[in-house]
Amino acid sequence: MNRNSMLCLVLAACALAACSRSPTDAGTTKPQAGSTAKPAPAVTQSAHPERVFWGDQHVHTAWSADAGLAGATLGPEEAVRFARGEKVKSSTGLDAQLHRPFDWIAVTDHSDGMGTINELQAGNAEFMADATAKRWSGMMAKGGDEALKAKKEAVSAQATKSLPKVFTDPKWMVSAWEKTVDIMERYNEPGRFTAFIAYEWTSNGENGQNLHRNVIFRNGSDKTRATPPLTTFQAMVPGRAGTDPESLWKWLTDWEAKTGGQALAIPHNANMSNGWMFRQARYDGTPLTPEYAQERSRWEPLVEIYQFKGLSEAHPKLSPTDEFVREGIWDTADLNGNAKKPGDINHEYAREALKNGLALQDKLGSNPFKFGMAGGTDTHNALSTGAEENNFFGKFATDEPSAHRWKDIYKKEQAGLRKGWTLTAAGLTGVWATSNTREALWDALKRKEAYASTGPRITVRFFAGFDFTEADVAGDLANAGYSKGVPMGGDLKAAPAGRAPIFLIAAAKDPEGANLDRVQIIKGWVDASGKTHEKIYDVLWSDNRKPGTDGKLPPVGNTVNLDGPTYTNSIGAAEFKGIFKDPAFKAGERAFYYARVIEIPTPRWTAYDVARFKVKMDSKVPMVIQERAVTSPVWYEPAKP
Amino acid sequence: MRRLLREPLLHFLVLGALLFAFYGWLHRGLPGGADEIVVTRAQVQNLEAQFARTWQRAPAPDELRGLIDNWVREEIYYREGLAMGLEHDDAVIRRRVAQKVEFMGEAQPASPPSDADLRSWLEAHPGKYRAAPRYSLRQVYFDPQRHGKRLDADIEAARTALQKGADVRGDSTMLPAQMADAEESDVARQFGTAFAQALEGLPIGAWQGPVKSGFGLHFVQLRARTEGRVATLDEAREVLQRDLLYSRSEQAKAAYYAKLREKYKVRVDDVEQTSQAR
Repeated sequence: MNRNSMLCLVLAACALAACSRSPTDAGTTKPQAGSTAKPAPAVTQSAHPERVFWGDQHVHTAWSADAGLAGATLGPEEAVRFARGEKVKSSTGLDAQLHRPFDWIAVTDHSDGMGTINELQAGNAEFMADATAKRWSGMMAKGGDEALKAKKEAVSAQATKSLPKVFTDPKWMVSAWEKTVDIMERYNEPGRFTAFIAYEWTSNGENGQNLHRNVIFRNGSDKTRATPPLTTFQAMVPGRAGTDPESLWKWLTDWEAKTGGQALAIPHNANMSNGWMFRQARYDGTPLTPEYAQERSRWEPLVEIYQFKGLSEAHPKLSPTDEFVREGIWDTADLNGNAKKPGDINHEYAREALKNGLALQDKLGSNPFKFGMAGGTDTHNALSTGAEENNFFGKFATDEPSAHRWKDIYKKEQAGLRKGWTLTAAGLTGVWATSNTREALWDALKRKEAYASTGPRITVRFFAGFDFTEADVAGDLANAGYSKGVPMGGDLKAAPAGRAPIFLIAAAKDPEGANLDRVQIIKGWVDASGKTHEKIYDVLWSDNRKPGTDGKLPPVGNTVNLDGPTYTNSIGAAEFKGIFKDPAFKAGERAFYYARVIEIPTPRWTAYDVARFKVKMDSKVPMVIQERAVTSPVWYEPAKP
Repeated sequence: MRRLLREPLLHFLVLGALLFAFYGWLHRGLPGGADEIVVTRAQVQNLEAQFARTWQRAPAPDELRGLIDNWVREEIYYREGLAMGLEHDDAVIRRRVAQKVEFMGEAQPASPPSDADLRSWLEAHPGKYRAAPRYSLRQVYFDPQRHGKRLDADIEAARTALQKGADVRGDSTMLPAQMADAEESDVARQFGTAFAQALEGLPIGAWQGPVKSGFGLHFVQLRARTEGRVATLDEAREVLQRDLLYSRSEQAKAAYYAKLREKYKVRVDDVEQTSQAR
């Protein structure tokens, strides 16, 4: 756009807007965030992580093109204010507020199409930052003679080549990215609340295979602001597609080299990738390589397993003995509604990928699928409400609370219509960090000392070692865990002769939530023939239950009363603590172990909707769930033969 | 002559002529008229830059030719589409254009507000800017489920022991046995909101309770309390500034819409009242 048409646009915009700015806005300048470095306040770091910091690493706002077009009006600033516990007006005009604020958030608007929506707004800001332009706009606001005078002045300025620079500067458009960064800088308060600088790299493969990744930076404005996010329109690796995750890894490599900063990526919705997320091939179908394995595990320490579009810890067909993964499964289509082919689910679920990773390590030299567990909502209305079933604002603005949202068509898939009730109000990440700062939280994410929750803030300690004893359970468990073992996300080196891994576990219920049903340890391993296996151990449980003859622990019971709906903490336990030794350990077999903590049954968001809107839902709509937290694994690596 | 110079009609004519000249002058530089397409140098540079971003090199001459041809093709389709009115009744375009206008109404945060502005904002919202109460405490935990029917008796025994100054261990728990100078929200994070709020009324020094939490029952010894208070301007400056600027920009947006809304009469058929759409 040349400068004349720019002037035209600006003047036209002024005329259109009737220049109705209030006098308080006179003399606006660009926000200073990013340019004025505030002195870093001293934040106390604990020696070991002492606290879990809860947040959502996956939030879209109206600045994501799809969110905006679906009617979202709240931008990144509203998303952060909401996460901090402020009341906001939702896109559909409802009051929205979290029951409990988060400790941190990552707003991850799509890089593809980012900013196309608010270019005009940004340009306008620059325009308004210029005193002359601002004065003209004020004069035009008054209309009549004043407006004519403004036009006259503009003509004269044009003729004498003295137009304000803002009209002629080709870089007048401040991108959405820079604005996002500035907002995060304003709301990031080390020690109190962390606002990560982040974006989503949104690859839909070749025709809808979900390969999305959230990119989260450790750094602030000084390193992130000048580099706009990578889009899938840009191929970083010559000869490979822009939608190939290797393009992202190359970009991350270059970015770190250029800025000295650090970044990581968290994939999500493997369940909608139609077999591509954990495929045992590169994007172009060629075999995996050692470099691929290294790059993938280097950049992607975590996978988001819980979110609004389904739960992907494990699939009931792949883990038929696991009675806790039968609900919340989205296994009908990819992101574009294309039906799955047989076998696709083998490469879409975290547990299966973790197992396959163990086997691939022999072929590739390292494990490409060595990741921990994260949760996130993927909200597209700026309201991260996955943690609160009774306060669920849905995924898009169109899914905000209403009497009919449960039966609205969420998506047309080849296999049929997906309805609103199938959305899962889930997705939160707990981070064991030494303080609430970008650096400390990011470092914890990177070392996988983090875990996924479907919503409740269940505290889970999980350590592995060879020397733990019962005394460690009774004493300072965390201290024993760190000094004699490794926390979640860590590696156990080869076992001393005759020893087996021992796990130190403690779990406490959400202080505002439901009691706990049980703690399980889930083991995956690969045998000498290269075959993978899994086994679920019930380790700690409530109410003095006795496992049945089949070895299965009976269900904890159900106190949910759908009138209300309510539940009572008359069953379950407030806390669990204990140790567990792998009873079937073979020192030569590579393995992973993670803990899963299950809550007693509680009402699902649909049950709250039934009560709130006095609607009757189809009998197939689930009304009760068992929420859970799933830790990142610990990996056991046998000695080299 | 003087009268003539004061003649409004003349003013009108002169201004009209000026305006005409102004727009003529503007359009002189515009790329083409209705049936002319001028690909400006800036546009070409833009296409080159886009190509370079994707391919990490400048386009070859024939590639650039192709980019320009594509741009021209799109421009022609776009203009033809506009001429046919295809932008009407298109939900995507409607929302997009509406968003653009909405964005124009979003005032940007101004230069930092004065201390006086911040002070009056603080005075208007004292509840929002509080230095929270802080507590130093010890607690002894009883998990009702682990005591069953013995709970009441065990609690009484513990009370007596604590009052005598004995060391009572309570049930093993992940909860901290003590907290030093902890903010109310940190207590709430560990023990739940109800427990944290109950601390407000407890006397300092002696063992109190049992106090209920999300986990069970606790004897609590408050060793120190720093009362909550309204933050000072210096303590809250950054947050005040952020919130005040946010509020101003929200107000500006609302005023912008209100002004536009005034220009329209809205009638909603089949609905009892006139649209209250914001």
